[in-house]
Formats: sequence, structure tokens, C-alpha cells
Amino acid sequence: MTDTNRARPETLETALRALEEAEAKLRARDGGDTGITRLAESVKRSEERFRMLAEGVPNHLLFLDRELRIEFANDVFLQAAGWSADKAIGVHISEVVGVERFMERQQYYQRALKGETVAYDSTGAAGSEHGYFHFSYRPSFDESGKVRGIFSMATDISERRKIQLELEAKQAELLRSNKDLEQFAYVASHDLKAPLRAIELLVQWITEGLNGYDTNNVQENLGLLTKRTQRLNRLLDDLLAYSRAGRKVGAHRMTDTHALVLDVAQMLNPPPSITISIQGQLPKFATHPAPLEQVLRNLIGNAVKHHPGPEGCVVVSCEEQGDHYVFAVEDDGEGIPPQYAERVFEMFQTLKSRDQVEGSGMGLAIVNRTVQWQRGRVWFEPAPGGRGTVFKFQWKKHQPQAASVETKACEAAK
Amino acid sequence: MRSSKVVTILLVEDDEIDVKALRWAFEKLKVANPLVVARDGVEAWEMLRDLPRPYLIITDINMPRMNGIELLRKIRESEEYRDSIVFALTTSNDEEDKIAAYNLNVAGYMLKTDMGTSFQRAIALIDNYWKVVEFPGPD
Repeated sequence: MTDTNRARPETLETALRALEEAEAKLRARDGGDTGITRLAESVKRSEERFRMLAEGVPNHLLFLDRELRIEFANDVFLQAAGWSADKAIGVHISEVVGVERFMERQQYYQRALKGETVAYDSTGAAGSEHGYFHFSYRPSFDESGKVRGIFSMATDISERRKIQLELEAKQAELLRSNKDLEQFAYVASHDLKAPLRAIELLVQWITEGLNGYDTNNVQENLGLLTKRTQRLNRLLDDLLAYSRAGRKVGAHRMTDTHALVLDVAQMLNPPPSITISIQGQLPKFATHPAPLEQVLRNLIGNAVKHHPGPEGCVVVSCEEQGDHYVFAVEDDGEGIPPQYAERVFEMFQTLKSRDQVEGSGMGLAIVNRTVQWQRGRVWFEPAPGGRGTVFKFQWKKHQPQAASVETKACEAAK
Repeated sequence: MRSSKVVTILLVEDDEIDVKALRWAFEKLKVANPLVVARDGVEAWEMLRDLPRPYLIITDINMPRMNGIELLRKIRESEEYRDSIVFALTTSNDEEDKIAAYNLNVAGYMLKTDMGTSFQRAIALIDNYWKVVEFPGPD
């Protein structure tokens, strides 16, 4: 029967044959004429309705036999595939989607052939390699309840998918900016308040000192007071830098990163016991120099600042990897225990108390945010020499177009 | 009979001025308990081993390396120190911090609000607390 179908594919033919069989059965039962003409017309009308429906929908419609060969294909499919109706009939489905995709989808066909209705989303259908489609396979049963083939429908949902992805990206951006806001509220209530509280305490002590209770400590307390106001100032500056990270990027221009690192090293003005050097030649490429400089300055600055001494080396290097560079800043300092891998990149997080090492705890948060804006990643590893840490970050060779979208999302989030 | 031993106080605080303020509050209220200071949760955890019992812990929440909540969790999860009496003394007025601290069975969550006096009230409370309340474990 399958062979006949392949040779004479008209669905009408198939239907008529089924009708003939039914007719024969009825004749045997009733022993007379059963109005075959009326039935034939009814089948024709039903066939006509099916055709109108099959050609009217914007989806790819196929009827596949048990061997997954095309028994019927609608115009939408034929146009997409660029085939004539004659060429399509009898073609195995693997020739439509390609062997690789066929292997991926075989499980779904098999399930449908066992009588299950299957649906899934995937890229690639006839004539559209990258389009995103919703597929559904519905088994078709013969009178005895056996699956005689699969009715396959592919709906192009590329546009819906694109919008969905955009929405998801925007939602992720909103969630991130909300989290930022929450974190900001938290740190504002603690980290910014802490120096303010200290200032108030110190003023109280100084006043008492001046009133003659504890005159000895007035000088010391004034020193602490100055330190705390400076700390508060620094926290506010860095918080502002963080909120702007990756936003005010300035112009896109050819940047010699080798010269940029040399400049940063000079500006940082490290003590003579610490040397900053470059391994090899750093690349020259078109980028936004300001955020890149900020990231390098913070990482190299951290390596210098947190070095326990007495002598130290900071080495900057760069490696090309596909569409981005991976910059590395390596030090031979104390190292960072791996359990702090997440926390070091959060706002206002320090590994030592600010009384031990003065710092806002914003440096790496700014680095993280700037690199993320670049669709890159920043992380650290133990230095290969066994002592110290190497911070690595990815920097795109070409500025991502998507950056403008994200900036827009940021604006919308405000 | 209540313990005759004096309670040692472990203060976990990363801000040296707050430490100073607390010492000052101790002095002012003439609380003479031995006081040891840890600068964050990691240091406090290490100090617990040599801390003479009975002891009482006052911890800040927001600290480098291991914060107060993490320290509390570590204490509650440990076989040895889970019975510790811990007070939180912090600037964090955050609901989440309060809930987390009480879920980890702090004896009290106190805010560093107004300067000076909030510390004095906290220390006065703790001074009364150890004098009235029975501590777990052998004397």
C-alpha cells in the first residue's frame, strides 16, 4: 500500500480507495446500493476543504509515510524548499533537513511513529537554515489503529523567538539593575554610614577632650577624623565611578595597549621595590580606551597596593583568543583563597579591614562591571609560579553592537 | 548555683573606632570582663578554640572575608561551639540580616544607632545578661 501511495500520491486517490473499501463492506452488509455517488461527493468536498486549509496556513505541512518519505507537501513547504510538487513526493525527510539534523530529530519521528504526538522548537527547516521553528508531529492511524504516517507541521517562530530573546535580555538587565539598586541601598546604609558614625564619635571624643576630660587623645582623634572623612570621600567617588562603569565610554579609537599599560604604570608610581613589566608586545586595536584603562589601572593598582613586600613583580600580558583578547595581570603577592572568588567582585568587599589596608572595596566591582558591559568575563587564578594571583579578563577586539541596546535597556530601567 | 566565673567577651568588629567606642563604653560602665577582639569572622573562628568558657560573643555583621551571618552559621553548624551565646551589634538595619541572625539564634540583635549611647545601652544589657543568665556547659 505504501508503494502505491508513493507512485500515485494524490490524497484524493487514497481517500477514494478507502471509500471503495468501505463501500464494498457496506454493500456486503446491506446487499444493495448505498449512495456511493453521494459519499464520493462528500469525500471530494472534504478533500477540497483539506486542500484549502493546507494551502491557506502559513506553516510547512507534510504528510510522511512510515518510512518518513513525503507523501504530501503544501505550497508553503514547496516554496521554502524551492521544489516542485513532483520532486518532493517520495523524498526522504533526511534530504530535507540534512543528515545531521535528521539524526537529532530522529527520536521525535520515532516517537510519533509509535503513536505519540510530539512537539519541540528548533532552528532549521526547509529553505531556512537559521530560522527558528515550532515542529509538531501528529501520528495518523489507519482503521486497525496502526500508525500509517506522520502529519508534520513546522511554524516559523523566528520573529517571536527574537522578541522573546530580547525580552529575556531586557529582563536580565532589569533584574541586574534591580539587584544593583538593592545592593546600593544596603551598602549606603552600612558602608557609607560607618565612616559617618565614626566621624560623629570622634567629634564627640574630641569635644570631651577639649573640655578637659581626655586631652591626651585630641591630636590622635583629629588624625583619625581626617582619615575617616577621606575614606568617606573615596567611597562616594568610587560609588559614582561604579555607577558610571561602562556607560561614559568616550570615543572609539585606535589604541596602543602597550603604551597604555606603560602610562598606567607610571601614573601608579609604585614604590621602587615593586616593578611593573610587560611580557611580549601588547596589541594595538580599535576600542574605547577609557574603560580599558580603568580596568587595567584597577588591576595593576591592586597588585601593587596589596603586595606584602618587600620586593614584588607585576607582569602584564595579553593573548589573542578568537574575537577577543585575554589580558592577564599577574603578581607574586599573598594570593587570594579560592573561596572568595565570587565575593571579591562585589561592591564594597575587602579581604582586609579598611583600618589595615585603606580601600573602598570597589576596585574589582568596577572592573567586573566594566568587563561585563563589554560582554566579557573577569576571573582570577593562582599564579603559575605558585605565589600570587593572576587576574584575567576578556576584551572584545571589536566593540559589540549590542552595547548600545544594553545602554538603552539601562536607560529604560532608570 | 550560678557560675562564679567571669564571662569573657569576644568582640568581632572590623572598625577600630567602633572597637574603641565599645572599650570606652565598657570603661564608663565599669564592666571589667576580659575582652578579646577579632577583626572579622575568620579571626573570630580561630580565636574560639582558645577562648575560655564561659564566653559571650558580640559580632558585627558587615565585615571582610567572613561576615557576622556566616560566622553565626559556622558556629551553629559546629559540634563544639553551637551552644555559644551570640549578640549581633551592627549598623545594618536590614530586615534580611535581622531574620538571618535570629534564625541562627542570636540572643539579641542590637543596632548601632546614635553614637555612644547605643553602645552604652548594649554593654549595660550584656553586663546584666551574663550576671543573670545561666550559661551552658560545665563551669
